[in-house]
Amino acid sequence: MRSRLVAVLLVLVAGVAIDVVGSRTRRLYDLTAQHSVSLTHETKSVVRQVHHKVKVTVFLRRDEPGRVEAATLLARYHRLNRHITFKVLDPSESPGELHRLGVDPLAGGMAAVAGDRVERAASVAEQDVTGAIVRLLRHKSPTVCFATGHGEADPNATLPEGVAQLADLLRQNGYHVATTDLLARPVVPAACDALLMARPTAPLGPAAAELSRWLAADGRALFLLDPESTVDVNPVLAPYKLRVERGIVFEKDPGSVLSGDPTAPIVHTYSTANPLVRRLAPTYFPGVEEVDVDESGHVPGLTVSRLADTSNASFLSRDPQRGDFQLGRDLPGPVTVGAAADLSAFRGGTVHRTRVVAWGDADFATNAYLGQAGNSRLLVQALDWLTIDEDLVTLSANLAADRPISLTTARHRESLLLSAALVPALWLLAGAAVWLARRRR
Amino acid sequence: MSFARVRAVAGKELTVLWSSPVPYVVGALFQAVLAALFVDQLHAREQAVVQPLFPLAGFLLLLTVPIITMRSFAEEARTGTLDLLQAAPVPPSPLVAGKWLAGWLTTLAMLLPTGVLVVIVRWLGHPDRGPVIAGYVGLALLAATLTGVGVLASSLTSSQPVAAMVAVFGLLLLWFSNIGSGTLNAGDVLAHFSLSERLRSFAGGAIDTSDVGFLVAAVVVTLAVTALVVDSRRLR
Repeated sequence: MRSRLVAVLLVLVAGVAIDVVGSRTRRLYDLTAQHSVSLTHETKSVVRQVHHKVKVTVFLRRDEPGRVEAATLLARYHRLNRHITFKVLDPSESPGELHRLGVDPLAGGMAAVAGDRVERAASVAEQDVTGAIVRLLRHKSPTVCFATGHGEADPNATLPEGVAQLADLLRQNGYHVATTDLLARPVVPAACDALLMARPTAPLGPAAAELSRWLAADGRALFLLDPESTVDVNPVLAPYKLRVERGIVFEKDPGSVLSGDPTAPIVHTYSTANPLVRRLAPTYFPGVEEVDVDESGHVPGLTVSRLADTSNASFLSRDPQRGDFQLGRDLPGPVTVGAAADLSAFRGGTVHRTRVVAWGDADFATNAYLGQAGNSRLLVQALDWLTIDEDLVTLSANLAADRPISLTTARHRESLLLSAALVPALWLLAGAAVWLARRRR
Repeated sequence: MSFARVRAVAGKELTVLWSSPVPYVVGALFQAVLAALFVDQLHAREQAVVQPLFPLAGFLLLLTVPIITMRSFAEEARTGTLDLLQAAPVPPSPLVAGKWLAGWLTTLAMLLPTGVLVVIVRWLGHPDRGPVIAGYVGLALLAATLTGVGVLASSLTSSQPVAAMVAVFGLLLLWFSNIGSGTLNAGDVLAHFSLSERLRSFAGGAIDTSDVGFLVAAVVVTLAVTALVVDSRRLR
């Protein structure tokens, strides 16, 4: 008996040893095509700097896609640093937590808390989580400066055409909001981490040169342009291979317009891996022009992505009074209505990065339309992308590829019939056959 | 430990088990419930991803594996055949390992039809192969651990329903032991033993050697304890 007890104890010790050695010498073999389970080196370096408790709370409905992935991602942070803990809550079951952490109950998202500081993000990808942790570590929130002086949408105006709700939304998401009058003093303040220019209606004058200079010096800017405006921002956008094409988009796909208005397209799909539009709900643009990407030539360090296209049935009309396509004059769809550019260089031991995002519409950001569809989320994600410190977080943080399927009602029924009825029935039949064979014997 | 004896015990156990309706009924129910839940997830996500399959399958295995393993020792103890087996002057380890192996292979066989769900995802889109491989490796290792716990529970009693219930409640505790990890002082220790936590990386598409080590260690420990329990019964 004693020898067996010793043998069993030895096996127990071996079992504990396997577990301990496995934990100490852990290796991760990421089998996903995009290595989307692995944290980037930049995230690892950030996570190692966390020396106090950081509690991450994610709000995702139980049936919401991405819940498993979010928990898997956050588990990786927790395993790397035990100071980082997380929980995934269903927003409908936790209204108190939503309110306490200031997370938008409709859009959901996440909040990271360290002491009395809270940082929020609209989605739960690596860039969002790391970005929130970086902001917590730095004790500094990025400042978004709304450009004024050239008839831009007013961040203090609560009228439908104002953008006060956007300013509030940014504050809720951890941004400082300021205004800068580029007519009175055409100099972008050093405190601005990003500049937001929404629908300028008066010529930019000296401000255009200042914008070009500021962008070239690692500036970050979001341009919300509009078919109604005649201001030419192309000289500012040209170094980044972006160009506004005047006109107005007509959407002829009935499934891609709201209330039958062909000049108010809904964008359903985003065919880029850029995190700016990742997991974004459809967005609604009431009156939009094209933001084209110049694909000729190569600029070292410049990455340009088309963010959103209208449907194949749409077109860019040069003559908004006519609602039909004119061959040779109008541009056939799909029409790109938003694009982003990233110009990066490594000089003097540091990364220098300029980022520009341009949308062919400003109305979608106004008080009248901000709450519709994925509009608010798009704007927060755009500013997150613009302001995240890229020394720490890379643009392409191992994003899982988009793998859409079209599960029609018929296919849904066939899938269920095959897997939940036919296969179990065959399994039972096999059992019945065995039972019959035994009876015969 | 003689592998010929382990094979002989496993062979006999498999014959008995697959002659009963248990694996067929349990397997059919497992597949039907898993398929219904997974296809629903697929519909909600509209993405060709298999990742949600594995946490669902893992949780359902908590409820089904104990039914497969409940008879392994409990039935033999009830009918008295365990005493006959133990009358032979051989250590209990081949007996324990053989019964565990039979239970594990049966569970793996029950997982085979879930491949239809992967085929469906492949039919509808282009899923990533990595998570499929990692997920099934994780499920196989989880099944090994669950079978170990099930066999251990069966060795503790001569009643099959009691053995199944002890195993189910024990496994549920292990599955959900990470819930208080953020608030309890011993949270990290509890989370370390959480089976759902251990399945997470596999489900995401990665093989983490620490998870592999934990699940293998859990099998070794449960089988060692089972051998001790069976041996102590012989001495009585």
